[in-house]
Amino acid sequence: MRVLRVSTLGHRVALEVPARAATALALLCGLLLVLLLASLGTGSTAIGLGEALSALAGSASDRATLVATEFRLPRALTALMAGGLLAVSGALLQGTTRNPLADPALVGVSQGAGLAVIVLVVLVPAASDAWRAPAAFGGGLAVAGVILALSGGEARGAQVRFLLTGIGLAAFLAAATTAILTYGRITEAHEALGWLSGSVRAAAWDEVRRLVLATLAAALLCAMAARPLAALRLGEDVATGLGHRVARVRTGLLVASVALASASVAVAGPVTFVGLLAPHAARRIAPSGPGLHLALTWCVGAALVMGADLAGRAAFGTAHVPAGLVTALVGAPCFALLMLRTQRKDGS
Amino acid sequence: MTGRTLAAPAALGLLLLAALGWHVTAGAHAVPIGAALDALWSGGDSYEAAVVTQIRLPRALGAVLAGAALAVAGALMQGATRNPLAEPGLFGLLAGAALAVVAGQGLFGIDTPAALPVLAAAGAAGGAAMVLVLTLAAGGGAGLLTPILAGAAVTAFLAALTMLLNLLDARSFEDLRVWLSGSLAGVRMPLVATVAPAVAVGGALALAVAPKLTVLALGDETAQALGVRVGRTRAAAFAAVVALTAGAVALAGPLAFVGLTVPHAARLVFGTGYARLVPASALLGAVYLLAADTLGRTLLAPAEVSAGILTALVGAPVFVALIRARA
Amino acid sequence: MADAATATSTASDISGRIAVRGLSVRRGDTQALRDVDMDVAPGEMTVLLGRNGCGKSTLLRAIAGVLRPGAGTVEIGGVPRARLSARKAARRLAFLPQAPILPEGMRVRDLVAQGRHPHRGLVRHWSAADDAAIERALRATDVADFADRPLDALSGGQRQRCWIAMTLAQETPILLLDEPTTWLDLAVQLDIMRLLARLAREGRTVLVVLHDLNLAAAFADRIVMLREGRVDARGTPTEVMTEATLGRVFGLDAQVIADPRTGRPVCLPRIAA
Repeated sequence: MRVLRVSTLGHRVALEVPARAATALALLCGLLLVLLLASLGTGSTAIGLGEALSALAGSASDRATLVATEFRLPRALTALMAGGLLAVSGALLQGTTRNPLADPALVGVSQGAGLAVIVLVVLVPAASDAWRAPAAFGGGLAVAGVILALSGGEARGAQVRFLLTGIGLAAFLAAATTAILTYGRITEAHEALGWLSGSVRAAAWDEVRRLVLATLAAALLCAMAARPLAALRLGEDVATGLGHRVARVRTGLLVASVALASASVAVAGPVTFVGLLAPHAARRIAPSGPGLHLALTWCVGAALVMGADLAGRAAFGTAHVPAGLVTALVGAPCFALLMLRTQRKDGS
Repeated sequence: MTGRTLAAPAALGLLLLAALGWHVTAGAHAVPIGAALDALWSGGDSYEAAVVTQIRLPRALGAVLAGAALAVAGALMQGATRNPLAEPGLFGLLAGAALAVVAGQGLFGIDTPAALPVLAAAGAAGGAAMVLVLTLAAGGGAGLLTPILAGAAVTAFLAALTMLLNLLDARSFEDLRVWLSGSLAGVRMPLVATVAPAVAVGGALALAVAPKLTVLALGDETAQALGVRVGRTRAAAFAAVVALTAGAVALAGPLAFVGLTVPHAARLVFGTGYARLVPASALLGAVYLLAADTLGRTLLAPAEVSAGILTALVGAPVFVALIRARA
Repeated sequence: MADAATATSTASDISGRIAVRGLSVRRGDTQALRDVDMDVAPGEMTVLLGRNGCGKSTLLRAIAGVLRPGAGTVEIGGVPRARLSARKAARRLAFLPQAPILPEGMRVRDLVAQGRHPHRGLVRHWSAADDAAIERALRATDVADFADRPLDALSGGQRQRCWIAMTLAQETPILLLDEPTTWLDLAVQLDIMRLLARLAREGRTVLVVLHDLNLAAAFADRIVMLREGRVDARGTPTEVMTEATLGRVFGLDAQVIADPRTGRPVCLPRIAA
């Protein structure tokens, strides 16, 4: 592993950058740009690459400009940022629980956030969309708290209990959500149903603005989380010995993970498997310390959801296959492979 | 037999009669029990008689069959895998059966009632096989976690495929949406009549294999030493589970957690011997689903909550409680 | 390594001292430690001994700050443990738990570098001092040759030396180790103990939990025996390893003889045929 060392400001800033991971990060950013341009061009109104670019610059025909900037660009940006947030949320959750299979959508955090949003939409139809994110955060946090309370106890088997309890809670929340939709009026239920399948179809610039704020917050959290995550990989006792306040760090990471997942769920619905797969994919692409790994994870998640949205639009014509469905179709087999690896290792 | 061993089954029988009575009389249009009995006995062409004989009776019989079938399937799976969390939903059978039915109807236009159980059986077997292969590939799965994770992966994949087929075929979507949430709403007599044989065969096989499952609880090697042919017992249990699950899915769609909740509740009263547990689970499963369906029809009337939602709301906490007790 | 010693020994007389006063710790429903007093001096290896569940690991973990005491104080170099920030504490004492988690795919050098954490800043991830400390730790524990191999490819003994290297890279005057020789082959156990003895001679305070009586007797400068959460006996191996103490603390019927070469006590259990 070749490592570049950077030192400035009289050695107050001194960073180590693994060469391969830095290259991978640059390439992933390029991929994101390609996907973004493809998203602008793809849909019922075909827009060529040149036209899409000039639409962004404001010099294309009115129709192309309208389609590109008012519909497709916010949609693509929403997919990008929702995916990135979800991926980083998964990485933080895996780090703090030291469980490679933890995923906000597998253990019910996403479903809890989703249920809270559904309750808001169905019971208080007048509430502004801006309330969705706080509601989602409350729901996700409540679920995380319940999982921890129910799966606590002796450390032995705590990881198994965490996952299983989360899977049970996810089933419960999914059923409760369906029950509320039965109770709610059909139009609200219908709107909620599209959102629940993980779709960025209706995204507009309002959503993009909210996600930009969340993404900036996520970047700050990641910068703070990198070093504690590295130490937690060695176990709680070692991390304590190295000078980390483990209980505080773990609570902070968990709350951060829930907050990022909620921000994503509030806009794009519970998209499955991205939070699970992106951190592993990033690790495969290039080994690196936790800081760069989180950046790579963000890019992979962004590419996954934007790619899924694009594939759902391009492959199935007018059927409007939501991004969440595509990530489930791709993610479930990957999850199975990942499970084979981790469980085999545990068994041996 | 002593009076004590008879008391519990007799109580279950009475409970079943009471649940049937409740199911047939309660609903959007309440029918007094006398009128209901009269309609069942002598028919008649009044509105009430029609409601009872055309709609509620088939639906009640469907609930009895589906509830009993899923409960017994769950008990057999728990015995054959020695995993207390085993159940058709968590192990991928329900998702497989649902996908097969949706694909059969949506892609190949198969919608005769007779074909439903066959499709569901093929799907259930397929889903179970996927989970089984994954679990074995992950190193046998002696623990609780591996098969549940394999089931979650398979279920997520198959459910996404089902959803995709639904989206591509908007016509079938509305019909199937209610069924996919685990509901008895559309059950009519011809369907009950087609499904009953599958459940009967599965049930008979279950009763035959039950005593051997009790021995299997002692471990494969001990069971073998006691004269049980382990592989054959598991194969028979698997066949019974597939037939029972197929019958239940054909009737009511994927009903979550019935196969987990009912056998564990039955164990509290009837102990761990499968010779008693299997028939007890059948009776209790029938009562349970009758009650869930009646509650679903009456709780938020006139809106109807699918029985499958209620069984999930009850079953998921049971699942979590079992984990707290065992893992 | 002489230079490893100079890094710490100058200040070790003050900063390496551990003073435990009236320490009590509850774990769940049981009182794991009751009113424990103990002093640990620099330049010595002190070994905590006792039966399973006697509280020896609890005492070590309370000093390390992993467990919070119910009553009493732990002073590190004259400063109460509770008054040190997590980071400051990590510059004074290094702690190796009993079965540390092995992160997947991590290289030896990366693990040892983790020991530099308390010396780094939010955006200052490397320095010449870090590099020198890591190199010293790698050489002191004899793992420099496979510094670029992944940990999972090493033997149990090599791996344990890497963990010790991580605690050395922390460059603390105090080392706390919880059963560092468990599960290792006898020859490797002796290797590890020789390494720890050398570190103590170089001026560090080395406090170790062991469960092998003879290993402790052969290497320890001082032994503290715990029974039911209290200190039962303390002193040099010769003072502590008596038939009466072994009977009381371990419920062991044993004969104690002197090793003809070193003069240290050796415990021989009497085995009735």
